[in-house]
Amino acid sequence: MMGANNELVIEARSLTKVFHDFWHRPKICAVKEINLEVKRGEIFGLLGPNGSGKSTTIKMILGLLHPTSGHLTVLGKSPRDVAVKAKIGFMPEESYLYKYLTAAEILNFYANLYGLSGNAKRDIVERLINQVGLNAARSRPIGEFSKGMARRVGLAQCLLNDPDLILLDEPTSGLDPIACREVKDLLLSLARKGKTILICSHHLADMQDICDRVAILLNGEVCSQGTVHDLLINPDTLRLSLQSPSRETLSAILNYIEQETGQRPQVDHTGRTLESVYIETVTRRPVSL
Amino acid sequence: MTIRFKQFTALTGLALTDLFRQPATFLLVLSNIAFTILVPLCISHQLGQQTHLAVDSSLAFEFIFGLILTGYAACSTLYNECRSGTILIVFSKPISRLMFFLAKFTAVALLLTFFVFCSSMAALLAERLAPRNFEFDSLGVKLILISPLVALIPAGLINFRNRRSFIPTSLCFYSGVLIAITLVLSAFDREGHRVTFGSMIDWRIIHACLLEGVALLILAAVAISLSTRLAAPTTVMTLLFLLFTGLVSDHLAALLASSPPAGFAINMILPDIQCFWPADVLADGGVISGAMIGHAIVYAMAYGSGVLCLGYAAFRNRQF
Amino acid sequence: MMPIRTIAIACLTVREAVRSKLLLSLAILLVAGLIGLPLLIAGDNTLSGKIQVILTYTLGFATTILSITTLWTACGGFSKEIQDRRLYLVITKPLHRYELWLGKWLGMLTMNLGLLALTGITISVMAHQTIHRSTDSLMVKRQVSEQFLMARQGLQPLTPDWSDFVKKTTQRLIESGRLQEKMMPAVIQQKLIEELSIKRFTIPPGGGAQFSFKRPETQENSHDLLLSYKFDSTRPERSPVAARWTMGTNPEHQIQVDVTNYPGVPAILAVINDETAGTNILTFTYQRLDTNSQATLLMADRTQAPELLVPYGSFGMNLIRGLFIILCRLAFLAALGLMVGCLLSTPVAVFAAFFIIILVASSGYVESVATSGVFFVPHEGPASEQTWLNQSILHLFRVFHVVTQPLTKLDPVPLLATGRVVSGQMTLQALVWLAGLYSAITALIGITLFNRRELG
Repeated sequence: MMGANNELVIEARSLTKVFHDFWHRPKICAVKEINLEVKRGEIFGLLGPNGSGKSTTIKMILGLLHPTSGHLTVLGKSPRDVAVKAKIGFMPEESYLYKYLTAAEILNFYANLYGLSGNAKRDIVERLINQVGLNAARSRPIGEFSKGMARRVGLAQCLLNDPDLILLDEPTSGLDPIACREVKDLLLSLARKGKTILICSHHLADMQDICDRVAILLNGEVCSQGTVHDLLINPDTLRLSLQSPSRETLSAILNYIEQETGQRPQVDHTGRTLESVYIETVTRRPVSL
Repeated sequence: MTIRFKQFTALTGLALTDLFRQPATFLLVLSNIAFTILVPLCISHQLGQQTHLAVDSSLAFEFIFGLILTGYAACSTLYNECRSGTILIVFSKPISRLMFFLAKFTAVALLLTFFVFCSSMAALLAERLAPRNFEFDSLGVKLILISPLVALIPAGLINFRNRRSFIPTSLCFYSGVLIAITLVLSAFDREGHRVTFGSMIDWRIIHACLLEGVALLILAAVAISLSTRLAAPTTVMTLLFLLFTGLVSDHLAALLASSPPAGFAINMILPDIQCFWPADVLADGGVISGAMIGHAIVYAMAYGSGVLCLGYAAFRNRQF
Repeated sequence: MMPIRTIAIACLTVREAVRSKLLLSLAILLVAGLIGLPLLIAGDNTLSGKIQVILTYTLGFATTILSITTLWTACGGFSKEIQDRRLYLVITKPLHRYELWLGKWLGMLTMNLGLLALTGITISVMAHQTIHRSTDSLMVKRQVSEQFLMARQGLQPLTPDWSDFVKKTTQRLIESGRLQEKMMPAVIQQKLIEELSIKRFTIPPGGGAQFSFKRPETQENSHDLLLSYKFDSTRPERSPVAARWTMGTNPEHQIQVDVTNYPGVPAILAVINDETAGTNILTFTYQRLDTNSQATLLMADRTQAPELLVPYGSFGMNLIRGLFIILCRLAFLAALGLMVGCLLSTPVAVFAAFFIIILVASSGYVESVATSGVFFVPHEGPASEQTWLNQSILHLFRVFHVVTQPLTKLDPVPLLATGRVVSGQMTLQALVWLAGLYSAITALIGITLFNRRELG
């Protein structure tokens, strides 16, 4: 677990959210008594099908929605405490940005809301624009950006205040594979620096790559929770890797195993991921597995 | 042909359903009815002119509220659809832009028809409720005061039990209640005695409201054409400008008499709203003739068609 | 830290209006209306008529347009951002909701300040240019400038002291037995004073009336004085009446001016200031020159008696004070729009806000209607016959009228249009009541509701 310690950044106990209709009758129980603990320095993934309560949970953590019941603390305080938001960065699923502002202006505006000013603000904005690769488009209005470019601005604004807790909703949505890789690398480097990251995503491969722990939600309840390693490992089977032997040697090995265990093992070649093939092809450089 | 008709009705039906569910539609229709009916209940000392005032006010309210409803409905159904991007999904289907444009106009026109219908009922009731000899029509007033309860409470109950949308249900119920009250007041006098059906209602008002409805259809054509490019506030402001300049178009033309091209342009561009304003005819005890209505309808069709052509020209090559 | 965030929100609000061309369109519409309206409205074709059209219609137009757009924009201020979800990225930053609210309010105020400045400059230039380019004589131009392009304070005529006369008359009536002692003398004296007031302002053919004014000591002497008066006729006929105004009581130093006025039409008598220098009490005597006993009686309205308009200040400062009051009103409208926009979607918020405004504007009328009987009650019915419904409505609207009075009575447009001073007291009242108290109450309600609102 990368840089994680036992300090809890997000703690939810029996957290419930019920949406009501006009007559105050319960309409939808979006989140049902979930228990979540996100430790400092870890990358925590929130998975689940559509309508499972992921976005509702994120909004409660941000103080946008009020829990119907249960207990929720963020960085030791109530989510509605304004001081807590100084340490949080949030990137929503859609880039809800002001279309008439340029990338630099938007970052300047949000930096002002964080209370940054002067040279510090200027430096941070410059650094982030370069970091997300938008230097060439800094003076164009957001309304003219593609979805991927707007997502990059969304990512940049959530890092303005060097937050302790970063909340990301579908961070790689709309990004090309190289940009996806860059985002993942960025998140890993942030986690190494001790930042806590909570990600909602449907891209299971991306989540598997970077998350330390995940929780799987279904119908508002946590069905499964734990480290990625523990969730994925199948202790009943074994995989051996070796340089391809000669046919006779291979046959002898297989016969021996069958003789000892009574099972004929399956044999195939190891492969690379489509992502690494794509990146290698596009950038013309090898990518380590 | 059948497919095209189905497509057209599908587009119109969807747009109309959406418009009927808007809270603004509910508020504007009900406010128009409320203002129209409250005026005769709140006026006094008008030296025998109460009915005249009630009729004039109801026609004025119909114009103003109808104009705002037109502008809002046109932008809600066309401009917002362009802005939100849902139009892309529609145009990915085999739907021509002309059909789409006309379907939106038809939906707004149907909404206006409903509005004019409710407004006409309210105007009839306003004239009947206007005090005569400083006495109020107690039967009418009582029916009017309980009408919101009779219409809105069942709609609320249906929303509570069946979760059906409150707004379209309440609008339908309220229009039904208005019809029922009109029928009752047509059959009884102020003291509650039976009379010849229809003798207690000034039915000429319906012709006046119809004329105004035709004028509102012209404004609907303008609104739909404007909403291909402009948002709701600008559209409504432009419609207001057209309404008021249309009402004084002859005065403006006289001012510009020294410059014939300018006067000609004024006459061509501004709609002649005066031929749809019948209050003076009613005040003198006159009747709005069929010829007058026919002339107005022909003018509205000609003007409206021209405006719709311009609107379609603006919409045809628009990129999204 | 708070001002930076609030100012950032205010700057964003202004920037949005600029980039979305709203500010530009509004400025163009304002200027087009300010310049176009006086061209369209004919007036009486006199120079003073043109100036009055410029001042009345343009200020009214600007006030109406800015009020509507402020209310509309304010209603959409929150509701549109909530609908578009742009507010999510702002509300998740470390700022309180009241800072967000305040920032938007200040942004709108800033825009209105700019537009009002544009309005003031346009009106001022138009008024001065109209006078400058007029083909009338220099004297007419000077008179019109003196009348409209100046801030004047209206002095009411001094009320004669009738107390001795009334006491003696009352005593005489009691002694002569025409008045019984059990009748309250105070009431009788009050009635007598009322009778004397009516008589004082009634001028029969061949008769006259005298009006004295006490000039303030600090009043400057470089501009003319204006006597504004209007006499109504007791009969429907509107034939002109010949009369003579005499200024001063000393026959050796009197100034006389013959006038011909139409009953019911306001008139202005210009008094050159040099001729009044050194005198503190100015006395004007109005003497009708027609002696035909069949001619109409003239009456001055007791509430609108002849008024002496003395110079108070410049047109520019007066216009600034008037525009400031309009700005205070717009501040309240912005607060009201933001309050309803916190809760409702844009079209419903606009509707609710306009409904509140209409209610406020018609509170006086509704109160008067409720007083005279509304439901089920003939208009001449005595109060005891009023139903519970009528009495409830009456009480409700009376309270409403009292509460909303500052919103309706602080209107500088009629004062500016007639060259009257917009006083510092009125300006201060607007600042305290409109921009201060009412805006603060509305802001408090709006912020409380916004704090409780979920943004899901």
